[in-house]
This record gives sequence, structure tokens and C-alpha cells, in this order.
Amino acid sequence: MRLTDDLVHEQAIAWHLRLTEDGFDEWDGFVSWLEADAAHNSAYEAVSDADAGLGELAAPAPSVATHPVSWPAAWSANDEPDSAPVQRRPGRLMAMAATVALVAIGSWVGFGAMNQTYEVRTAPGETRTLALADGTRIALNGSTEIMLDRQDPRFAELKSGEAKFSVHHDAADPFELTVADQKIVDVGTVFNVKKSPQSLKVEVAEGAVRYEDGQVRMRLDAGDTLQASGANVVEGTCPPEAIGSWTNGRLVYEGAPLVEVAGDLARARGIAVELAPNLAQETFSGVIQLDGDGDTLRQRVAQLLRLKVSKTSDGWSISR
Amino acid sequence: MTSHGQDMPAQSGLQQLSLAMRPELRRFLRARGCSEADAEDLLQELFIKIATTTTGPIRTPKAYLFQILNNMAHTRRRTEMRRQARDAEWIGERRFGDDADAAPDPETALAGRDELERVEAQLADLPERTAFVFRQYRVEGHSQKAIALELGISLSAVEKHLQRAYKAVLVIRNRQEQGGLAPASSKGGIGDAVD
Repeated sequence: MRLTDDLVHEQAIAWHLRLTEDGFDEWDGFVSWLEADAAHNSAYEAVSDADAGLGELAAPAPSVATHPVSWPAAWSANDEPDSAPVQRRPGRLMAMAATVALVAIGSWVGFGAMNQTYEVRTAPGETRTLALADGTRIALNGSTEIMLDRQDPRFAELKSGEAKFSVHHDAADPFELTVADQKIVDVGTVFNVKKSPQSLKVEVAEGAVRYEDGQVRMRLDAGDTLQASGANVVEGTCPPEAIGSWTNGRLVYEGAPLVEVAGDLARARGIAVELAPNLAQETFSGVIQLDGDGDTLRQRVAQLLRLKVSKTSDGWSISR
Repeated sequence: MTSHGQDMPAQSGLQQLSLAMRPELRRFLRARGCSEADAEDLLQELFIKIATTTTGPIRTPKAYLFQILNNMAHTRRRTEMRRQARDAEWIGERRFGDDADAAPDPETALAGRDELERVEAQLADLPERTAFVFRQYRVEGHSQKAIALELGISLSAVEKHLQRAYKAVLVIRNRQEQGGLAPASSKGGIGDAVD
């Protein structure tokens, strides 16, 4: 299957799964997705067919199951004893599934306590590179908070700050980054993500990612950027080599608002950077090298921006 | 006409809603690949169906109507494909048995033994956790939320396991359709439900 087919099938499966969940109420979104491309309906039909093909040997799609999932007693010490498991028609598929599940006992002890997320934070001005078990590398910029899962190296949640992801690609198990209620799913990728309280910026240096929020699903290829502030999503482009350049000690801008530049400098050097209110609308294009001591950098920035950069008690103040 | 919703039988409320939602529902059916005429047909069928089916109070009537239509659209397409496949077989002078018409529709289809064996083999290749989550979902009928809660994993992790499992099922399906029982067909996808 080609990459785009794969994507469409993934989406079709995702819709199929959501449609059968109790309380699904995003029919408008489903219609929009179907209307976007005739291939979407075909892919969805293929998934429905495949599911229907599993037949009545399996239980009907879930909708009413409100009773707790019951585990084989041996699996976890603190599980309640099987409280009257719901009677289902026994069938081959079920028997098969039970066999599959039994094989698992050895490696699944303690499955009940599987939530193994942990948090990594960087201080302002501190950068750090994390290597995950699957070969994925995550470079964290200063003032960044990220959640990871010991059991699932394909999961990350960016709470705040900026990080550059060099993702080991596995089509069968895509890397998924969650940022608030937005999701970024890699399709073989180096990408940079910056979260500020007001907005999320995604820039793709290599490969592609899929961006999803409640309303929008969108594919970004190398050189594509996306800025989402609330419901407002703006697409753009950027030279791929400039993306995540902070990891090489440089900041690269093309018509970037000075607010963003100030924020990046603050994050990179761990200082407070004030911007005079009359500069909020100004933009900057160019490259800022981050090396050198504080005064050297301050003078460099002043020259590049052609503005006054003066010292304050805890950082800099930029003005005309 | 009284406006006391509670006094009104659930059906008539639903019927009214289905009329009010007609444009929206028609658009949905068109997006689901139905022709204009089929869409009209199905809307009529829906109207009759909710008039003749007794239901309890429905929490999300709008979603309920979409859900029914979604299933109806799927069934109709399958029926149509089977009919076309039979025609193709006739042209290819390869007769089905007399009971061809009795082939079950997909909602009640008993998967063919072969396919089931293939599903088993393929699912056995899945990571254990994935197979387990899939079983909880598709065989035991637990909701994704219930599975996530019980396993202490995120909803998106559950979804990922299910994505993987369904992909495997799709792969089997594709293989079956390509090497299926109907050599005369160009479209494939008609070999199911044949014993």
C-alpha cells in the first residue's frame, strides 16, 4: 500500500472505531471527511466490510458495555474476582482470542498498573536531548515540559515549551505527540513543535506528520508549517534546514513577529526578555547565532534587529 | 398537536426529527456513496423503520438516525455488490447454487471458515497486548473507555492497539479478496459469505 493509502485507511479505521463508540456525536466531521475525497468512503467501506466479515462469532460492536472489563484472575493480584462475566455466544474467534491472551500471561504480570508516564522538564536556558527505546530522539529546548510513557515509547505529550522530534518511523505503530487536545502523528519524520499559552506551532523538517484536532485533520510535508491559535489554523512554509535550528545554536526567522523572537531568546538563554509595546507588530528575518557570553549575544541581537537591547535586573529589554 | 414531548411516543418524535433532518441526512448518504435515488429510498426506508420499531427513549436521537442510516447504506452497498457479482457469474457461465439468494447479509454473515483461520493466524502475530485489547473490544464488547480505565492506559493507546488490529484484519481481507473465490469478477470483494 502506498503511504497515502495507508493514511486514508488509518483515518477510516479511526472513524470506524469512533462511530461505534457509545455517544459518538461528530457526524458532521465524518461527513466532511467523506466529502473531502471519494476514496475516503471506499476506505471506510473496506473497514466496515472487514469488521462485518468477522461476523457474529464475535460480539456485536460495543455500545452498551458499562460493566467493568474483567480480567483472568491470575493476571493481577488486586483484581476483583470475576463478577459474573457477561454471557456471550461462545465462538471460534473468542476461543482463539482467549488462547492468544493466555500466551501473554508471562509478560503481562502487573498489567493493571501500566500507567507509567513520567515528566521531563528543562529549566529556562537548559537544553536536553532524550533518546527513547525505539530510537526516537527528542531535543528539548529551555522551559519545556514533556510527558513520556515508560511502556510506550511511541507516546509523548508536550505540556509547554519547544521540542524537536527525530522520530524512528514505524508505520504499524506511529509515534504520536499530544499537545492539549491536538494530536501530531508522525509519518517518518523530523519535526519541531512549539507550544505557547496562546498557540501551537508545528514545523516539519523531514518526512511528514498528520495534525489533528477536533475539527481539522491535515497532512504536513517537509517544509510545511502550521500555527494553530484556538480554532484558527494557519498553514505556511519554511526552509526545512531552518526548522529546529535552535538545536544547532541558531535561531532562523523569516518574517517572524518580534514577540516570537523575544520568546525564543528567553527560552534559549534562560533570561527574561521584555519587548517595548510599540514593537509588537514588527517582524524579523535573519539568523541569530546563540553562542558567546551574554553581552556578546546582547550586542549581536541589537545589531541584527537594529534596536536597542539593554540589560535589566533579570534579562534584557528591547526598545527603539 | 400537543407539544408535551413526554406524552409523545418516542417514534413520532423520531419521525419528525428525521423529516427535519432530511437535507442533512441526504447529504450524508450522498457522501456515503449512495446515488440520489438510493438516498431517497433509504430515507423512506428509515422513516418506515422508525415508525414500526419500538424503542425506549433515545438519548441522542440525531446520532441514532445517522447510525441507522450508516448501517443501511453499508448493507445496501453489500447487497448491490453481491447482486452484481451474481450477474457477473452468470455472464461468465458459472452458476451459483440455488441458495445463492439466501446468502446472509453482512450483519449476520457467518465468516467463512477459511477466513476465520486466516484471521486467527494474523491476530496471533499481533503483539499480545494488541490482541488482548482487540479481544476486549470486538469480542467481549467493552467500550474503549472501559478498556482504557481498566488497563490504566490512555484512550489514545487503546485506539492505537485497535488501529493495529484492524489494519491486520484489513490486510487479511485484501488478500482474501484478491485471491478470492470469484475469478470472473474485476472488483473483487464478493467472495465472502460463500460456504
